[in-house]
Amino acid sequence: MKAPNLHLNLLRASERQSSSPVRLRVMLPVLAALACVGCLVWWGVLAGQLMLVKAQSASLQQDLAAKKAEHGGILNQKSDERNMQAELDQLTMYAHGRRTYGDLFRQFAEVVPEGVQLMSLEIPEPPVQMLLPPGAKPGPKVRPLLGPTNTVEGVTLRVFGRTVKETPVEALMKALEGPAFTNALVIAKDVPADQASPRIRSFQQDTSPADNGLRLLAFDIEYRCAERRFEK
Amino acid sequence: MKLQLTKTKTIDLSLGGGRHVLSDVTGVALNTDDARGCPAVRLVHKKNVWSVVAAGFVPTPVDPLPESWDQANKSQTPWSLPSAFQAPHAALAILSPNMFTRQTTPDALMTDLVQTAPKVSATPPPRKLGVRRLEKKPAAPEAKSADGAGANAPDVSPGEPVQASGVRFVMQPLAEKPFVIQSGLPEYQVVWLSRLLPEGRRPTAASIQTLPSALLASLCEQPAFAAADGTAFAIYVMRHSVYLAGYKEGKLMLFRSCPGVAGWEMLREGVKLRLGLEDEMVDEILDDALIDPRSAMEPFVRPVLQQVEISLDYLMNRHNLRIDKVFIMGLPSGARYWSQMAEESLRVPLIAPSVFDGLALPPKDHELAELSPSKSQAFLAALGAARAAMEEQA
Repeated sequence: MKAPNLHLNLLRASERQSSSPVRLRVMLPVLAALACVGCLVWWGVLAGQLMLVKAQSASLQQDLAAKKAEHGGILNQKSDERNMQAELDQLTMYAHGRRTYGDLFRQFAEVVPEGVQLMSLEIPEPPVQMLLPPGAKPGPKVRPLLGPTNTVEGVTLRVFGRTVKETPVEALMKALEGPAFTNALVIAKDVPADQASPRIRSFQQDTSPADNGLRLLAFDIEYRCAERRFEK
Repeated sequence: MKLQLTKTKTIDLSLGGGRHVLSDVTGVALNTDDARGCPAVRLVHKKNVWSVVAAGFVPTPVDPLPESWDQANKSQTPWSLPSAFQAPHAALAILSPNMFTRQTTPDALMTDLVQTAPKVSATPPPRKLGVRRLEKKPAAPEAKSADGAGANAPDVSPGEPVQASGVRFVMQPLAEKPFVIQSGLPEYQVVWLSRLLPEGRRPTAASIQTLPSALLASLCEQPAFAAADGTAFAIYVMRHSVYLAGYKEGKLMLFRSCPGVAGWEMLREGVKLRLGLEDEMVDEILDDALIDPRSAMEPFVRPVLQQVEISLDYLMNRHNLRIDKVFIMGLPSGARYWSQMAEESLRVPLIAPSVFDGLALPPKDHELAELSPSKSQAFLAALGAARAAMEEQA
């Protein structure tokens, strides 16, 4: 049996209302408004964050500029420190390269035999060292190096004197080979003649007239001294 | 609206438009002059079982049924139902002095529309804040008469409410062509009723029916009606009127209001006066076998039975429809004597079942389960309204 299909409903579909407390026609505008408000808040937050980041960026740039100035100062100070340290090192090397000859001359006076007249004791000036940087040409703006590039410098002692015969000179040379001069003078005999020490550069008749008319012999003996080292 | 989620998966979304399948409806009969309140029945259809979740009397609305647009446009006091009746939807059956429910023909209907059509545009309802503007349908070509007098006559399609001359009506075709059943109520009363139950709170109005039209679906689940294969005759005796309906295989064949016949209230008054009873005793006497009240009932019952006889003869002669099951519904008392008198005059006994026969009742509601058939009749219109609103599902 088919049930009677008689529903004489006077209510229009458009008049039907929802019993749900959540109504689509109410919630849709509310949700749309909330979405708009959410977007505005989001944009506001973004704008705030952008402003904050911009302020931080400006602050960091200012800090960076200040730091750059400080950094430049520090770099200058470090450069000055390096230069001063280099100068100090050079001074230290010069201090270490300094040679004293007081003891040598005092000992020398004690061993000079009779019959020998010392005319002069000479330590020749070393050749002038090149103090320009490699490849640089001399000029007012070129700053020379603080110290010699060659850290080892040879030193010689020239003994000039007169004598009446050879014996006293030999005695003098024998005395200078003694332990008192070991640290100051280099004795090297069994080597080629140009590297020997002592090396007799001249031993000849003295041409200058003597007071009593004696004929004297002039000698020139070269000793190599211990090397002068520019090292710390 | 269908929403395609994937290539193979689609879900149906309901956004408030279109027809709804109602499975939980509270039917309420309004303006029935019952001192106990408004009869209400909450009906649920689940897993092919019809069950009554709650039945009782709910407080009547604070505001009376309006008699004019001015009254209808006044601010309404929201009406809410007790928690047991808070179904998602409500079907309201209204008893109004301005209503009508009648069997007619499309020609008569069109004649009425053509005659009243000019009034439709002449009396628009005043618009007020909170009142929706009522939609007007374009005029139907067939409603126009040859001289153009019905140019404003509305289109009338079955089941769609139409407004004409300040009255909203709806019609459905009957099984017997070309007859239709038409039901109507003043527009302002429909608008007022549509707003009676506030939005956003359970229940809201899903159906507004006149009380006579709501009665017609009350027989649907009756086992005796089903046993007769839906071929039966029903006498709906209400407080102030009596309605007759003939069904063939469940389809309505005939509907008429008994002319010149009062309802059961006048019958009770007559019995009370004739037998000298107190008001509280009338129902007991009418349901008791100790005193035979038929002599007092006869002036009221006999005209009804004559109308029933005429109707049965009409069905027999015109449709060759022999009906041997006659239901009498709505009587609060005295059905037994009605049946005896009908058997004497019509040779047909009357069946007076409980309104809730064929329906599952709440197991804990002993009061409802033990309700006598007579006492259950108060809920006839409420149950019929709820059942009619759920018709589309059946």
